[in-house]
Amino acid sequence: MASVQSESNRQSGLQPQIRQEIKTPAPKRRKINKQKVAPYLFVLPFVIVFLVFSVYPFVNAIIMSFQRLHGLDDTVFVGLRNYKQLIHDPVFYKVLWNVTRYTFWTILILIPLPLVLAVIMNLDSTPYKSFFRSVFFLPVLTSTVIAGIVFRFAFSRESTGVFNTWIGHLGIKPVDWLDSPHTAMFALVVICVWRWLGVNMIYFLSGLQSIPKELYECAEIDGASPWVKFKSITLPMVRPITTYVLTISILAGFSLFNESYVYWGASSPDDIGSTFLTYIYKNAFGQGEFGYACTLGVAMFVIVMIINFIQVTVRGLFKED
Amino acid sequence: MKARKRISKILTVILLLLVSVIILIPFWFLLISSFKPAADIFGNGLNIKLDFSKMSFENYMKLFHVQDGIFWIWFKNSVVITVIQTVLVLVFCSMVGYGLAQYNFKGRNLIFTLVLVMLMVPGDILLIPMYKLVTNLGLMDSFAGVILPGVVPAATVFFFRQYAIGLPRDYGEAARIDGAGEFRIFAQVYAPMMLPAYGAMTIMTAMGAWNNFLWPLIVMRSDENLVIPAGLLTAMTPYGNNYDIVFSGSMMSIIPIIILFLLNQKSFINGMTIGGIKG
Amino acid sequence: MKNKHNPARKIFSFFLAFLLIASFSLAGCGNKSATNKTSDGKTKLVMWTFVQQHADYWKDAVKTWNKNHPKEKIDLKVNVLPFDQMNQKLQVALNSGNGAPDIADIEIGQFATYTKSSTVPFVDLTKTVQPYMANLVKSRVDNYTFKGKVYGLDYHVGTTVVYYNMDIMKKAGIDPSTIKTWEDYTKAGQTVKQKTGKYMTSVETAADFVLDAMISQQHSDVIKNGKSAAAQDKNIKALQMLHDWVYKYGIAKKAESGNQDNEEYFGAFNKGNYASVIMPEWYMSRMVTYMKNLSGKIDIEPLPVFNSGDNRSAGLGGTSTVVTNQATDKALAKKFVVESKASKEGAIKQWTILGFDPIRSDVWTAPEMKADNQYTKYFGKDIFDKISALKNEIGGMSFTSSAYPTVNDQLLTNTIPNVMKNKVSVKKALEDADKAANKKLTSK
Repeated sequence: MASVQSESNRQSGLQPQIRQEIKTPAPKRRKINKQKVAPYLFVLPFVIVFLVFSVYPFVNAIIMSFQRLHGLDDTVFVGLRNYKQLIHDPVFYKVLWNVTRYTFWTILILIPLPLVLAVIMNLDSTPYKSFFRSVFFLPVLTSTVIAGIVFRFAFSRESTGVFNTWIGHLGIKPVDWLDSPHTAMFALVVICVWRWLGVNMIYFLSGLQSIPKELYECAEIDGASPWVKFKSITLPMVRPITTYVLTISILAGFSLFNESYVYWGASSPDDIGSTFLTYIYKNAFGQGEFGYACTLGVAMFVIVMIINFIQVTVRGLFKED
Repeated sequence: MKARKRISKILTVILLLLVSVIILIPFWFLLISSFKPAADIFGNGLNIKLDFSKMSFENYMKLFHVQDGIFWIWFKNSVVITVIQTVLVLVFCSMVGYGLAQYNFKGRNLIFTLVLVMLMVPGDILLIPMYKLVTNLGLMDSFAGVILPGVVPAATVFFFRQYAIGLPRDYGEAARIDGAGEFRIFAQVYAPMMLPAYGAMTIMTAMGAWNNFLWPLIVMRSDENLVIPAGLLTAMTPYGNNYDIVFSGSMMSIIPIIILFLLNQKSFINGMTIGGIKG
Repeated sequence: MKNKHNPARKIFSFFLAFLLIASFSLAGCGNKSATNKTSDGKTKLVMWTFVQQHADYWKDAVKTWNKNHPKEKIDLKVNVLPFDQMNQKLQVALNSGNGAPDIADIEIGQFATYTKSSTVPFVDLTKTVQPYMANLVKSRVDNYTFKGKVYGLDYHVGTTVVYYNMDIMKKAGIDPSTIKTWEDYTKAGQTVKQKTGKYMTSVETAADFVLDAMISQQHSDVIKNGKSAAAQDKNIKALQMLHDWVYKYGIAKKAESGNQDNEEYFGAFNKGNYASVIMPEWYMSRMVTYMKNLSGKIDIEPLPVFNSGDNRSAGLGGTSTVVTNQATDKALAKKFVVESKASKEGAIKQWTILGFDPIRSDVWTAPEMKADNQYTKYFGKDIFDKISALKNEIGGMSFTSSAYPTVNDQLLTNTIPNVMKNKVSVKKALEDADKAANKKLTSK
């Protein structure tokens, strides 16, 4: 890659730093300008699409959060009334509590476990890697409709349901899984771990690919154990990817919709399965309250933003050079 | 030493197999149910038994003949949208992520912050404003209207940025000294180093585009422009679910992505080695 | 070396440009053409539905129409979209003022979102429906009548009946036709439990078909003057009875998955877990598909009553067909929709094509209703004799009032689950529902 050699380098045969100083002023300025302009060109596509398709609609949605729809194309500006309603809405707090708990559990499980799996899948010594990777990836391809059918049956309140049969062997009476808060959370976490384990594994796998094998070889020569290798080489090198997975997981946790919807639809008993998105969906399309739905959306956005920004600042996202 | 390695190999395989079996149960259910009539699947509680006497290709035949063969049109739509979207997303997001990671420039942190911010907006509330916007831009009922709003997704940019930030700047500097242009540095020095990232994002983007059905459904006028997931959902109605089509259709929908995944693994992930930093 | 790479880069940029251009040029596909008439003078109409069989029904209806109205022919394009998403798409289209179809199916549970404003986005069908009114089941038309104007016509009545598993009933020695009151039913249930060990029926915890039927048959409702009024004596009585069946008499248990219209439940009923189930007429299609063990063994009977004067049935579920305010030829669409649904010929097709009980009760005695099909094979030929007897006893509830989604949400989320978990008294649960619902309603 670094095989292109210019005339000046060959002629001077000097060290890199001095090579740079000997260059003629005019070409240097051009190169610097190109280097300065280039990043802006690189990020231009994002900026354009972002302004047009993200900022503009989002600003609109924020405006809608201060309105009530009085009919299908008839809006009324109501100031802070939606936000006041939000603060006094018991379902809002239930929903917030649900997604917080859920996010906590998924981060606890869906970051370490896929990482370990990725490490195993990356070792030369693991046989049939392609097969196993495909197996772990398959759940996310199974449509939520189908997954929902299987898991709803598995968590059936009848004694013949899969989970009730298992705990039956332990002498425990059948549980109404989808009917009370804690077991409902368990059911949600189970289907989500099943579904997303492979995906996070893929992210970590690609991160592991960028770690030079030489580092591990050097460590082995120095007599490092697998755990030391993992702690001192793998973990730090895969840090940016871990930040990515953590951020995405927090977002995904708060954006939970499909898995809850297949268990309960938009109405769960006592709102045990309600999430921000199922509640937004219910308000927007089940009850035609687009204004309030936008208010909920804005609230969710602010909360997720705050959490993630605390998280990335603590992890030094912006200093990662 | 060799014996220990052998044993740990076998143990690993056994462990992975066990986990695989559990993970695959829902998929197994899908697979065998796609060959059974719906009454047999639900007639006596969820039926996951392999029963060749009740199994046939009838569901698949039904799937291919529903509404005069509309399934293949859905399939074509899915493929076109997925391919175009995946290619465009990979190209643009890798460029943006690279730009944010390998350069220091004014506004860098601001733009990256915007990337993160956009990640967190719940899509449902944007539906109406996006619909109006796309209408005003004259993109309603077009593939462009479907693909353009999602052509630089924040999450993918974020991933490429994270990947690129772990790459050493030395190579770029060296190439710059040797007179290479900025785009060439990206295309020939760093893009190859990001191959595993491309690999991961290919499969994730393709899968996302393949399974995303709400926005295409909103933008496109007639049901001949539906993609597979939306088309299959038409078989689930308050007046009864046509599981024959749902199961066989879901199987057909998984196959292309699995093929893509295996190809992906072969070319991007397996056997990747990156040269170390010398000195 | 520079030359080697330039061509590659050029090719790459061309490819990219090509993709972008391809995306834009595919914009030409599927644009709505300027005129709404076909080359042979037919008016083009677009319809959205979420059930494939409904699409079949309308394709047939358009043939009938064109035969009967050769000077006003229609070219109907029916789009079948997924249920939830069609609702979203339609709301977005009507909200933005463009992109909506001429005709659309609106499910009864979703209708209320469209009547929130003073201007309903549908065409007023009242005058066109007027000549047929005498023969239509009134409560079904009322469902889609808002401020005195009729906006839609249903596909069926949804006559609610009791389906008895005769294997179990015979074993218990009970003739279902002798069960006239809910007291009779409860007593029969105790006998059934005693003699066969089976439950008389199930109770829903995630749905409220049965509760709604019981409320409606007593001429009661959950909404009064636009406010939540669930805690009325008659409603308390009904919910109390359902509760007592489980906790006092032990003749019922919670339905598998909490909903009788669900695959898990179908399997359970098919296995013979219950002696009876209370559901609307359209439940027949579920039985025919999923409960093959019970073919020829099901007896259909009217609902028992609380007091004399109660209806012996109720109309539950439903989907109406409406003409949207963005229709290109409103007059023609109006006539087409109304005639296809409410004429004798059209109504009969609601049975022969869809297997529904038609909204026009005078056709229930037509000979077509006895012709052989999968339903008569399963249930016998006298289905409509039994249903006809109930034709004047089919009421509804304020299903399509704009307050209904909020009230029903309370019932499903809090009231019914808590009552069936024995956590709170029926009266208090219903009163809580009223409080919560009214709080939400008045904050509007």
